[in-house]
Amino acid sequence: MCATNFFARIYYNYRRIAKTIILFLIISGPGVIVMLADNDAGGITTYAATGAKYGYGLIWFLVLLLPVAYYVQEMTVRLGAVTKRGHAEAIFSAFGPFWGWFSLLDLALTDWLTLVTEFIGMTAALSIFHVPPIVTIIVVSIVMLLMVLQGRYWTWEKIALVFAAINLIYVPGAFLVHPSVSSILRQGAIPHFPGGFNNDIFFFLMANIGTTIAPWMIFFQQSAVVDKGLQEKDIAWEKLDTFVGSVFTVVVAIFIIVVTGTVLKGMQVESAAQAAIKLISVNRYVGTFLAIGLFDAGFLGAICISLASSWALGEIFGWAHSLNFKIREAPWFYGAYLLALVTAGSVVLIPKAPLVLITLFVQVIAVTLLPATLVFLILLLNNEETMGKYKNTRWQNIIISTIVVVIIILSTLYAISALFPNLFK
Amino acid sequence: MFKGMRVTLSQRTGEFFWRKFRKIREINKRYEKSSIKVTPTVKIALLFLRIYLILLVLILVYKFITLVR
Amino acid sequence: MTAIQKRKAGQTYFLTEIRGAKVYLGEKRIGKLKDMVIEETGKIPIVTHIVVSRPFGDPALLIPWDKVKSLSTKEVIVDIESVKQYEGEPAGGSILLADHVLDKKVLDTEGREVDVVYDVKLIMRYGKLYVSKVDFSWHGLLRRMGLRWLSDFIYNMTEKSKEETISWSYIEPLPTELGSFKGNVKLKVLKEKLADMPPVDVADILEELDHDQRVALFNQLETEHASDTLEEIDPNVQRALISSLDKGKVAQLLNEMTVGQAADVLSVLPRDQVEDILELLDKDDAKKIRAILERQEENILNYVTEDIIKLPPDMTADQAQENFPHYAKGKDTVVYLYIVDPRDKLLGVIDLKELLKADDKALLKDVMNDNVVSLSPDSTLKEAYETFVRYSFRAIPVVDDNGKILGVILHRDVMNIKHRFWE
Repeated sequence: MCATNFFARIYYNYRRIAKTIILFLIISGPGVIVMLADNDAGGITTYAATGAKYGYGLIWFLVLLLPVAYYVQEMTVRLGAVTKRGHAEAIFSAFGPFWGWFSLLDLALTDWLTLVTEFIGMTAALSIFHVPPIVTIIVVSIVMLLMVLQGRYWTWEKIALVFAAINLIYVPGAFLVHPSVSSILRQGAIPHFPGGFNNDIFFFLMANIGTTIAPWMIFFQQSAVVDKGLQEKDIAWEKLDTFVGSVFTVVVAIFIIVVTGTVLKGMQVESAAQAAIKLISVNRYVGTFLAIGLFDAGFLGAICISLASSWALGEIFGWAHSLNFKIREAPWFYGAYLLALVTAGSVVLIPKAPLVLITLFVQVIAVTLLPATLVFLILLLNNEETMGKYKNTRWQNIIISTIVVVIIILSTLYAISALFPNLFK
Repeated sequence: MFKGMRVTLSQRTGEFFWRKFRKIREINKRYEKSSIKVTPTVKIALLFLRIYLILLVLILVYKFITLVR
Repeated sequence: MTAIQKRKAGQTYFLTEIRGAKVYLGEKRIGKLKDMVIEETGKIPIVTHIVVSRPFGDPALLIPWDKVKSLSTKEVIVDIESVKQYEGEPAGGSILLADHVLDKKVLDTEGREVDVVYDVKLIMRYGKLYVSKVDFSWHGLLRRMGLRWLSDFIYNMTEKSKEETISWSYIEPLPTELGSFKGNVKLKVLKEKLADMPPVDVADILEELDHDQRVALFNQLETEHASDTLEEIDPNVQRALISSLDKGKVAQLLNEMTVGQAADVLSVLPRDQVEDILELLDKDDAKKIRAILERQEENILNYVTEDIIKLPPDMTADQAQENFPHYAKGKDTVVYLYIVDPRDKLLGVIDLKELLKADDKALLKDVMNDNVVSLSPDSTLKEAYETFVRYSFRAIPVVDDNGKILGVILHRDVMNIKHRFWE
């Protein structure tokens, strides 16, 4: 009797846990995707350069970025699930047309410029394998179009998750270079500034923060939550999803640093593609992994960024805007998506296009939008009328305000230093 | 014949932009009233953002001028 | 250009081709053909006036058709005494071909589809100009974009290309904005035609429309029809539509639905709107809807309806038949009769078809099927779904451990709502 009771309880617990896991798997998606897409081509370059310059020295700093990314993105989950509308629409209706148009147009511009950098990353990564840029761009555009055209958010999400999983390729990559775990812990776990705090290291810290939070991420996740049809009762699960995603993003970043910090320590790295080439000459597999990872990062970033714009434009212009629509039902939505892809791709193909200037310009333009987006996010989350019991608590407000103030200051300085390179030198 | 076609084409582009313009006015009207309650915090935050934006634009303009020179 | 040309019978024109033609008064050019006013007389509408736009901001001219002497794609010759006399705008409520029909979505009542009119075909008969057909085809679109040569080229290449034109009598222009077309004959006809369409088709049509058109059209539906249609509409469209409707009206529509469907519709709305609407609903229903909205577990109890036909076992078949309309009133399912004892213990089920076939004097307990497929109070929606798939019943009773019937769960409540848990 006692034994059967015991087994019954085990079975019951097993059923309960299995049900919970299934529920999580069903609801999760937007958080993991947005977080891994955050490690886009620009992000990979930043991490690779950080590892090459400072070795394992700044790993502790990346761990600090985990709560930063989580707290900001978690707010979009609540906002989306409770109000059932995207961020662009939320800004329009809460703050009026001026801030609405400003956010929408600035988002479209920032997204487009970032999209160009993703294409630069993808073409650079594949040209290591001797794929001509034009082939990369055409094939990538077609694949991206096919991904959205099947007419189901569900399917799209699953495909995107596969690409997000490829992003984890750096983890086995790091083991191939046999880093010494003890020296990683010794040099990386304790907060310190290798070589003392100077302008150089400040620049790197700012760059790493700059790649962690981007305006498109906020717009993207909120729209994805809405498109997926998440409700208030799913909030806890989607928060967990976001947390898991932010752990992944930091893990990937750390492993990239481990790779370049082990093999390329002390070298100046200009781009991730360049790092991959250097790595190939040392260890063929690791270099190849880095190149594949770079391509995948650019690809994942490109999907999410062009969708973020299309969703936002659709919300405001009143077009049908959901991945659950067929192309005939939402022609403008898919049209905007394709237009962004094709134009950004073509820019990369133009011979002698000012690509370096564009990469630099992205940071500057993004910083015109980022503070507004973050401040709006906090204000919207404190609006009791629409948020009810899901509004920010006092502690959340304190944590998030601190994060936002720090981000605004650092990203502004980063943009200024990008404009005037001699200012911090 | 060519002339006639150009006239209708320009007419059509005009119509196109007119329609877009109407759409934008419609959107402005729809969101005319801001729905958030204007508390002092909101006011200060919006003021800060305005100033921030103006400063940033000034910096960009300065950079542009020095770049052109 | 003589008057004879105008009378040439059977000449056809495309609206996009004659629009923009220069208008002459004698030798003097007075403007360009901008639009045409049509009037619905009998089966096909007739052009009553032409609208002429003039340069330099002069007011437009409204010239009656009988003053038009000749018409071609290049020029229109009119014969009026003075220009001043005909200055004016078309009267409110009149239908303008280019303004109200061209490029607009219309309802094809034959195909139950919404299409965009790329062109309108006009036909000249005995000096009068009639609207004969509307063009939805790619050729129409190309012509509309000024690429007639391309259209002709493709036409010649493919030879037997099908022209997607539809006779005017089968289309219904839709209201462009709220309030426009008010009191128009067409809208009345439209309303009658919509009422005959199944809710799924109406939902498809609504999804294809612009927001204002959608609201205008939706408001034309009867409450029950509107309620059924609302369930079928895509979530994004539901959200936009409900936000523009009066809260009281929404509550009315939700009252027509079962709890499961109402919760399904409400799940797409912002939280503050949901609260406002729940206030207006019946307290018990609101409580159940809240439970569905707030909890993850998908227990069927919240979806169960008690509005069913329950009859005693000793009733005769003809008694049941006779009083059926009375029993069926206000019930959520009428295709099954549930036979219960005085303490609501479920004894058996009779399909309505069985009842009609039964001998008049037969007792219900002899007609009934006492081997009932049922669900228990702790069954989940997924189990209900599987049972429905297996047996294809319209409704399944929910019975507790003591055999007491708690209610039934309806096929449409399980199969027609947005389930996220078995994709």
